[in-house]
Amino acid sequence: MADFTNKRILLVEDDNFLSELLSKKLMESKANVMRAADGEEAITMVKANPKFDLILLDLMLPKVGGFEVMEAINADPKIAGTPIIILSNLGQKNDVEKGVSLGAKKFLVKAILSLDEIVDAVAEIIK
Amino acid sequence: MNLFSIFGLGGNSHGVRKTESSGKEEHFTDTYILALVHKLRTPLNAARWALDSVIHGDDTGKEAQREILNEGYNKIISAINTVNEILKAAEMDSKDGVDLKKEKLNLCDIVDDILKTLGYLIKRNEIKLEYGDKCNPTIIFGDREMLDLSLTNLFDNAFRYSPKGNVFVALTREGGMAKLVIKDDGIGIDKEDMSHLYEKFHRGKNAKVVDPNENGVGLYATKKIIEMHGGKIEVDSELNKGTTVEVDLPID
Repeated sequence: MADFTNKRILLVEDDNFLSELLSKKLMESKANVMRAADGEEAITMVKANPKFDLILLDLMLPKVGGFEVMEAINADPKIAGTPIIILSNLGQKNDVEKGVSLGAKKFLVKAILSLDEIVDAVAEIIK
Repeated sequence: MNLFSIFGLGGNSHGVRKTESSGKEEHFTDTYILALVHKLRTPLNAARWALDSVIHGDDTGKEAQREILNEGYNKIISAINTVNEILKAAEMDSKDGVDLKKEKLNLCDIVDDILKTLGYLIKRNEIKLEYGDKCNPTIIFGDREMLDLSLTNLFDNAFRYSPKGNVFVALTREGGMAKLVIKDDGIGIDKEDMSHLYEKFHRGKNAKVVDPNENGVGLYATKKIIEMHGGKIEVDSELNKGTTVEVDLPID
């Protein structure tokens, strides 16, 4: 089982149910999980907190979309480079290319992955 | 039935844009297929994770598990509703049209049922709903399932896009018509989007900002169903002020 002790993860997901299920799963591996429900809140939280070990980022978000969140992070030298895994139900070639070009470490399609598979993907990034 | 016929994108009727280049038309179709795939993937994803969490998660106790499964069940219903909505739209577009299964209906009952079904949205968005306790029976002759689909869409829009706002509902009779008014003080619709209001799958720019995941057949189907019942719909809206929808349906 993955061990995320002392690892801080920001989960950005507007569907409260999905957010709860995934955060609970990550916390079973002892991660310190904070949650944002829209892009605006995500940017505020990223700027207001010490650098996260990882951001799990949905793309279709209220107020500010996921790609714009990545652009805002890239534009701020204090938080630029924070590892980001995109976690979306999109996943067309152009979405993946855009995500990677903006610096995403991985692009995961939520619906085709189990919660354990997502935890494994997280573990690969925050060893 | 191919995908073009399912989404009614083979022709230029119903406000669907047909481009001269077949490549562009395919792209247009793809855009909406993708939007619908996304709309289906989201609840299916949630249902999968719900089951996953109960099967493989730490034992959280029966009551917690029941809540998770209940939410997963609701998500599956949501996916089924999306599929039904698409099929109804396809049926309406087919050359044979759709056979209305008409019967005597009390509009009050339909509105009551819709308000019950959308109770979760009223609660989630903290809507202050103003609707008389007692509705005067208003009998119309119509297809229950189709009217449900059509009017649910209108109420859903009012509740979804008026977070923490007010929604006023009135059902009255004027001459030989039943008049349903749904007035909200929500995000409204801008002038440019108003001109595309009845296009299939069209969504206003500000609607996408509030709820990017929602994506249905929309007012296209709503208007068509009302007109199939000999009625009419009028929408008046102002950006950031709110929207008023008036539906007139002939009384039996």
